[in-house]
Amino acid sequence: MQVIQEKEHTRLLAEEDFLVTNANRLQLELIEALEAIDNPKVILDLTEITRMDSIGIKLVLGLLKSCEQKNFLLEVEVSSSSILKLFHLCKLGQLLNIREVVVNE
Amino acid sequence: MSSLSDDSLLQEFVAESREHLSSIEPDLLILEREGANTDQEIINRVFRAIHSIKGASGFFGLIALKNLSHTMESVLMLIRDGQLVPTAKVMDPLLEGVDKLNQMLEDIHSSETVTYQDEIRRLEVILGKPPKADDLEATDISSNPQGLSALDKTTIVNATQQGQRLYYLNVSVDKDLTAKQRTPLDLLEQLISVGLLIDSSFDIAMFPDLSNCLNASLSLSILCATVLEKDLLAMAVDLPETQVQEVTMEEVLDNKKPTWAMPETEKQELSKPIVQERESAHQETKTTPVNHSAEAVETIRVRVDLLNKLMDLAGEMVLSRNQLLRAFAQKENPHNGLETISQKINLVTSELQEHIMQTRMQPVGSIFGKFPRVVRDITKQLGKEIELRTSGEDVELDKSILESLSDPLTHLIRNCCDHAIESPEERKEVGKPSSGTIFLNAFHEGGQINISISDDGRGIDHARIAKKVLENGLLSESDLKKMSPQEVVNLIFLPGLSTAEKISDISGRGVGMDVVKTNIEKVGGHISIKTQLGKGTTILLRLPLTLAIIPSLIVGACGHRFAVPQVNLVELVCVKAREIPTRIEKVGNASVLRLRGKLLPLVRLADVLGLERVFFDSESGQYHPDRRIEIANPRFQENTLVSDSETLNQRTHYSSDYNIMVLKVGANQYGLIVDELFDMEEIVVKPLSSFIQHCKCYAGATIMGDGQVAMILDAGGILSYTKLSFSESQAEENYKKQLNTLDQTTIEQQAMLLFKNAPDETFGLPLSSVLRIEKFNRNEIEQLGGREFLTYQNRSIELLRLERYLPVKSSLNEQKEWFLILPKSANGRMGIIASQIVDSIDMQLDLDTTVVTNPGVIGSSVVQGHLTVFINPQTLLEKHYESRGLVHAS
Amino acid sequence: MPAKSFVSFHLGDQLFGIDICQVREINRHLHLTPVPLAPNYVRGLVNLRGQIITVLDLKERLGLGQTEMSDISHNIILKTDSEQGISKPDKDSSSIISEKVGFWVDAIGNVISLDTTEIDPPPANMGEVDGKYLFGVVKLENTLMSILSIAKILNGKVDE
Repeated sequence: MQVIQEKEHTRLLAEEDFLVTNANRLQLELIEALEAIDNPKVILDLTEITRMDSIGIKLVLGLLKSCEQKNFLLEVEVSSSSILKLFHLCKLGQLLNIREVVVNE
Repeated sequence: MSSLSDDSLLQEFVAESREHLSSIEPDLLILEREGANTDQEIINRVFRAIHSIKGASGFFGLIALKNLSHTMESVLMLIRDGQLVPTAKVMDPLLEGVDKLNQMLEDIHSSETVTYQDEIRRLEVILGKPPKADDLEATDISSNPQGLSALDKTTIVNATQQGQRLYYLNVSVDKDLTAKQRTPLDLLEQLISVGLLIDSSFDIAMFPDLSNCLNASLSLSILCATVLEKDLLAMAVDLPETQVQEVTMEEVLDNKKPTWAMPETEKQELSKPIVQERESAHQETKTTPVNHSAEAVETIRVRVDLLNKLMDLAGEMVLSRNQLLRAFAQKENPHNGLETISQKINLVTSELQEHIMQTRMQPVGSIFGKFPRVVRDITKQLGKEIELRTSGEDVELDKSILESLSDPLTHLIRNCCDHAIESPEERKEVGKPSSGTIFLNAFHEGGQINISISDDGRGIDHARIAKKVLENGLLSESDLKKMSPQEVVNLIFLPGLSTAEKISDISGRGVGMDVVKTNIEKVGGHISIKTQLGKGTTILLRLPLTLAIIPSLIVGACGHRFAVPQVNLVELVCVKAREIPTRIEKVGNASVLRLRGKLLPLVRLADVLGLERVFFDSESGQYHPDRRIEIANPRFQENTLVSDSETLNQRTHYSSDYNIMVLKVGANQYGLIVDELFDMEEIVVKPLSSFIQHCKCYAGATIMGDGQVAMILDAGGILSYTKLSFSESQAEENYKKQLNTLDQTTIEQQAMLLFKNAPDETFGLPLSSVLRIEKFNRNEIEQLGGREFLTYQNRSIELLRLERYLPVKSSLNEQKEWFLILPKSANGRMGIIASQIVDSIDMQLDLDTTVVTNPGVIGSSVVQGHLTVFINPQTLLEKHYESRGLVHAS
Repeated sequence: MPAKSFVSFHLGDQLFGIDICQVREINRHLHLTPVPLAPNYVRGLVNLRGQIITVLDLKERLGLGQTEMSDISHNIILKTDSEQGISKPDKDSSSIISEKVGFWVDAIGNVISLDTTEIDPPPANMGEVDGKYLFGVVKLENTLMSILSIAKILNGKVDE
């Protein structure tokens, strides 16, 4: 997890898939990252990962809850079509802001 | 989304809302009666019904409907929460509201123009505070916090219309996904492959933050539409069935989500859906679909024309099946195994036909439901106290019969309230409870449906009826004298007789019981009345199960065959060739038959239909042209030269007799002469082709048992087509009556049936009191508790022996063949045993009343050289019933 | 070229045709129940597998006299609109067969396929047949075939 302070927001760049296998580590990293943030807007950047399981969703939702507690605005950026589809089908868009980012590589 | 353009959706909404309203009404009446003690479930039911009308009318943008139902809902909410006791004062505005909603639904496109401010105002008075202007809007928004989008709603409605079912799925992320090593996407894609995903959401209201998120339970609820049954869907998405709930469209549009029965461990952590939570604040109870389905069997709407088509097809299949069976019967060595297959087809076809017929059946409860309101309103208007009790609501009748029953029943109930039930003071005076009771009961009996309307009111006074009949000049005094009280009571079915002393707007407009009777008879039913002065009245309607099949008599004229519905048929009279000159006369241009002292206009079916008349010569087996022109006195009308022997032969030949069907049309009767009489058949009525619709003589066409088509005769149509005049024959009749009264003695010819019990004693009784005569074998008699019975056409007929009630000799026992005389008054349930039928003669009743004086005996006379005892079957029957301790129920 | 098939049949010595799409079946040997008082072109009713069909004497209907029952006379049962799958009226004649009807004809001919452009508008009279009952006329090799307008024939009841 990479924490990038940008001008108007803090970007949390996920470097590994949100799966049950690394969930505990990701959880700690996210908690740690969030503690250090005082920017009111947080972007969870998932553009570099392609897989997310149910535990991964729990992490995203947990992050959302924590942001709400701190009055942070959470946005999620996604590129992977499967994650996009998942978010779309679960209507996660009703709970948080999701942005589709096209990565040109 | 609020488009009035999508008519089919709108029609669906109208139909459903009407159903809701018709169910609300009786519930409101219960609320009024039970007050604060009303079962909570009833209150909830009303609340839900109004709520869904409100919800759906909002969806369609029907402001008037929405506002009114919203205000009603607010009142109901107070009642539900126990803040308001449902009294008549509260119910009146609610019932008025129901009326208004009905009115709006009547013409949905103009519903916005209906004024409903008065209703709202009255409801607001109950609410105690005038609601703020923005109140309406506010509630609606809040009831739909993260509601479905218009697009979703359209999807839902469309899916439902295509016959898809709606389900809520509750997915536990841990149990159903992680434990099964599935990702949410796996599940969702499985779902998409079998159905339509409409909505899904994570319940995160109670979800913890990052630090606890991994072990917290999380559930995803999904709304989807699919054609799969619940168990199949559960299997397809690999979820336990308990986590799949079927829901109705209304519930979804209402944003009602099911409550999930969760295992204890998960219960604490799992959040309930937000909507559910808010509603529990209102103590909303049990709106789960489970509860719903426990109450009613699932139904779908089917177009009636589709059902009719199915019925036609089933008929067609039955015919093909018959051909198949015939083909097999003809084959000597049927192919191996084919026979069993054909047997199976036989069974399935019969069953299929039966079930398709059943699709047209509807419970009578659907019309009974409106009567509590009718009674309540009249009761208030008249200041009476009347309780309506109903039973047998689930008895089913053909839809079309049910529909045509609504008006007559309403009329009967109104009559009951208006005339039969006395005012509370009057009731107390005669020692009855101040509140009157009307019982409305439906039940099966002998393949027919009976509906009875009984009251504990004042009963019908036959003297008053008689007076009324005389005043209106409907019958003469001498006619009335000959009638039994029961017969006089039956006169209330005469057209133009209203017995109400004062005409009220509830009933008594002069059109009444005769219209009821006509309407009931139109659907092949029968109405009878039984009354006891001071005790009450029972009106019994006997109805066929289905309209489509009617019993008919098949008759022949000039080689053509026709069906005559039994409803129109009064009796069959055969006039022997030798009796034609004496019994048939000419009055004006019409021929009339002298039948039991009355003149019956006659017409030949062949003449009506313009057929070349033929008579059937049974010796040669051929049809010959019939040269008789006039009905009366055929002998003198021969224009063509005929040899004496031929004339003689023709006159005395069996086929020269007249077969006369006495048909009734309303109050009129006439005789239709036909050439041949065949069997009774149950026929299926098919509509007339437009090419022959102008022929008023036909009521339809049918396919008979042998596969040939026959026309169904319309008794009324024939009457108007032939322009038979009753005035002439009636004038003639009146003239004869005058002559009689001048004589001061009523020398009227009466047809008498002569029979024997013991071989040397002759008895007589009026033929008009006889329903029919049956032959039976001695060994068919069954004994039961000292009573004797005979089973005929699946009915038990009790046997009455004359020697039990009259001082006459008993019949000899060795005779094998016996006769049973069934009096009309016994309704085919009781018959008098006779050893021999002697004759039926027309005679002047000049009775000696001194020789035999027992009750049940009218008098005696010497007929054909024998002393003959004339009996009154009615009195005998009553004696018989008394001895059995039964009340005579005719 | 738009081709269409027609069922051809004879009434007396004239040849007529009906669009094959409008024909449900052709049969004979049905027991006919005559209907007294019906117009004389109503030959009677038959039971066709549980359905009652009104059989019209087409010759009588067109004013050509009665069709005699013979070995070669046939009954052409028409399809109703719903059987043809017609739901809304089109300007062609065919959208009016609302009930089950059959035509009694003297003899059945071949099924003839034509190019619809070959159909000429009907003359005022075609032999003894009023042109109003015709949809058009087609020249065949050695004869003329009149194509019937079912609409006129079935719905002309009123102007009798």
